Amino acid sequence: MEKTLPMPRAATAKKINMNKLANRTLHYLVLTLLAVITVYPFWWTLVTALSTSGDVFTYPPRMWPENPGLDNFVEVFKTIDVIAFYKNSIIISVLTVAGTLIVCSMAAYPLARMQFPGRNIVFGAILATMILPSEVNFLVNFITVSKLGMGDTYTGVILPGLAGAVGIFLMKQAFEAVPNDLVDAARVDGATEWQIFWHIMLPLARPALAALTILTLVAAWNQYIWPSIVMASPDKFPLSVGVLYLSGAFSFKIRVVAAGAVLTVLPILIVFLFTQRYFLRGFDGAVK
Amino acid sequence: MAELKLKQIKKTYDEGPTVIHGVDLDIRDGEFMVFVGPSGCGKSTMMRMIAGLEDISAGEVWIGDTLANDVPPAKRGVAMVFQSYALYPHMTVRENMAFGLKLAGKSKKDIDDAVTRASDILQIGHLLERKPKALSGGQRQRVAIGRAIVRKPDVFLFDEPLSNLDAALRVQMRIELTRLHQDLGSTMIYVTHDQVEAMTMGDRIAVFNAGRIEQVGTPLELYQHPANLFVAGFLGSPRMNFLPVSASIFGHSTSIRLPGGELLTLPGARAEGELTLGIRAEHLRFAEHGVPVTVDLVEHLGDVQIVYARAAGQSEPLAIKLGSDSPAPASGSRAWLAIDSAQCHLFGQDGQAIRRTEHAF
Repeated sequence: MEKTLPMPRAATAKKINMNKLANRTLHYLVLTLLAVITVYPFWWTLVTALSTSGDVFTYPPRMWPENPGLDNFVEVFKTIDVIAFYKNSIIISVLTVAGTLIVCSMAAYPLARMQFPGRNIVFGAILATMILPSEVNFLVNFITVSKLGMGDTYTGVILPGLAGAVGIFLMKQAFEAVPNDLVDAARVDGATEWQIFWHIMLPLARPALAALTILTLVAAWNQYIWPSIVMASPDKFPLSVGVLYLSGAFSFKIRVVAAGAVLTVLPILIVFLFTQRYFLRGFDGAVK
Repeated sequence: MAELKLKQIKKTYDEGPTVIHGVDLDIRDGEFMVFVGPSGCGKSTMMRMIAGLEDISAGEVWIGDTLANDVPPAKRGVAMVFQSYALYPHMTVRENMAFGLKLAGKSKKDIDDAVTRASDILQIGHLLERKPKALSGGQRQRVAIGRAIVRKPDVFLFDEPLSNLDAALRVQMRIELTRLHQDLGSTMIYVTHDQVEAMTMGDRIAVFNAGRIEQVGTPLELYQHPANLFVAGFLGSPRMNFLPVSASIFGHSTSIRLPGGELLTLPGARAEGELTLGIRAEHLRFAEHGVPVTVDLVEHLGDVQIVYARAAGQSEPLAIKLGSDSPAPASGSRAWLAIDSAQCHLFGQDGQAIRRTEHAF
């Protein structure tokens, strides 16, 4: 009897291992498929930008560049003032990120930690704005910005997007996660409401701030329609708008446009690679 | 240092229940006062009101000569140690301890001196550059106490500071806190639900129940002369045994009929009717005759044995504390209990103790 006992146990363990393996394989297959679907357009753009000959629209599409070279990139630099556009993109993105962090965290703090009448209504109203696509606001925002004399200015591009519902929600969650005892301890230590916000809350909400920074940076860097509506002078265009100058009225060099797109995406991709850990952690906090 | 007076303190939450029902208490300068009571009895709320972290619905809190009701927490001259330690996780130990002084605008030298002095007292000098997450529970507790000490408060408030520590560390910290009180001589208020902490640390104990103070006194006063059934049952381990008895007055004594029919005379007490007799486990002993019981269980705790035995018709077993080398009856056996009449307590139907005159003891 004693000798036969381990047998069924071993068989069960083997079966569990097999199930685990099959499960894991399925997960990997699905995730790999999703990764390919997501990454392929970027890869195709990169291949197109690096190829210097051949048909762009061959089927099946090419997986590796033909006669690889940087000619298309050189042409981008010859056709448009990439450096000026980069500078504009950096100004707009950095100011948008700074403004969003300040506005969202200061809006979220009272919603998270202070008791006042109508608190839930205010928060509900902020969340309700998430239902509408941002394009709906373009008309109202454009009229407002124009009447405030901010047309064709960086301020006009930056200001309307600062108080975003996602940012306020993210920061509110982060502030709510700070234990009450810490706030009480700070109060006993003599901290004012502002000092609690500045010395205790903001440092403890650092992962959420990092996540919001990256989210906002990506959105600000990539935004196209709004800056192209507000900006009239080409010398103030961000790269995402300026790169469209590569497709002129009479010529359309798809490889050069692809090179422009790669140049637009590259900086943000590098930033994201180094900061994705914060980005993901920020979302952890948001759904807990 | 300061004395503290609570006058008719009440706490009612918006659209909610009243959790403190008019508490009066005087805490003397330099006294170690323990608030003890079961969970939800209002002791922590009372402490938070003293600290200024909760609004006072009615009544007055006097700290020294100042009416503190509307004084912000930092200006009350109190420092608080939280159950969760509440150390700022992004600051080092030094920064944690210095935070309050920095906000008060003290010079760097003053801050450094205060932090060094406090860390010497608590022997945490080697931890000053560490973050809280790199500390053990006991070390965190010391830092939390250090943060309170550097502010040189008039009144220290401790809100169940040892309940997150393991048993051995709790005993050690208990001794250290008592020593700290002796060294600093400050007024300290200590909230706990642990009666051992209350009995061993407090100069006086205030027993809270359902938002009221049931009794205030020294640990021994409360243990030996509980004012009511609640205090009698709350302090002491195992808790005091209670027996429903019928009593009649017999001269200057009260004659009590015990379960089983035996009569017991309590000199110095004058009460009659249906009463509750209270007797502590150490004042019961097994004898040749007395109250007949059946032994349920014997617990060997090393230094003592606790025997649980049931009297006929009683739902609650009686606890009897014996020395480790005393012979204890076996589980399931029948035995008789002798009751030391001098150590008996009598409680009326309202739960209040019926006092016995001095000569009875």
